[in-house]
Amino acid sequence: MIDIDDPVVHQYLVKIIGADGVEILEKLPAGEVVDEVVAEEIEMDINVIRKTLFKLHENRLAGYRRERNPDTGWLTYHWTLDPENIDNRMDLEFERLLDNLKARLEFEVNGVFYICEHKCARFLFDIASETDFICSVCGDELFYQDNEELVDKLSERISEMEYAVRK
Amino acid sequence: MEEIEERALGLIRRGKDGMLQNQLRLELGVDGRRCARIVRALLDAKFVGRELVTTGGVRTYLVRFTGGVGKYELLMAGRKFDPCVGCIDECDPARCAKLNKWIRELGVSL
Repeated sequence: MIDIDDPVVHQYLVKIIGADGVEILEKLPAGEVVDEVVAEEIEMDINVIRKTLFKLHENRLAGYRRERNPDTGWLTYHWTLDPENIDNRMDLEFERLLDNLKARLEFEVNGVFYICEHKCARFLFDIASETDFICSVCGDELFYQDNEELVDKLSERISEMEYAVRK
Repeated sequence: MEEIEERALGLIRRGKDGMLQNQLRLELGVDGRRCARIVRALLDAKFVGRELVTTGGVRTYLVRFTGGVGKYELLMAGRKFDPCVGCIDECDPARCAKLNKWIRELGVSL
């Protein structure tokens, strides 16, 4: 089963299926399930259950097989969770965040930033010089912003993540 | 991570029962102060732990590899989870407000 008690896994699931979805996941019986049967068993709205299962399917964490009733033509979905895939999914997210942090670090290292006392916005040097170092939002003077702390913290996290990938 | 920190971590990992800090200093070929800074960086990153020991009448630290934080815990900044999961906004890491919030949780004032 998916380890919902793991705080990171829990947060990941909340992001993709919402808190209601996690509640449903906690109550899902093991093995193949039919959404209508589950809805009756756990007394929850079938549409919420279907939405959750399709979201899990979108994220490769559940699969289904369809069965058509020859008399009515109705389709029944038989769902199976695919919890082993969660590490692969989280690896993809890990890589995406790492790439985005690297892009941000590059921007921070190559940019020279200016900011006003009210922190209305950050301005790159070129933009700040165009407005004679006056904040275009509040009209106050812009000052150089030292982003060394930001660069250090980003570099540190990127190093940790790269190390974790290599491990 | 600096190259010398990676070297230090490699040496510490190879030592089955950890490595004495004064021994690490000799292996790295750096002075005691530099070595202490390197170990401090590794401690801060939770890659190692250490304990005070006395060996041959000399007080030093025994530094052990602890494995670092779990890989996926790095998706967290403080209590904030990876903002990119499920995000369908146009991706611009340089100006993303959601990413900014996450970065602030790393202890940076933006």
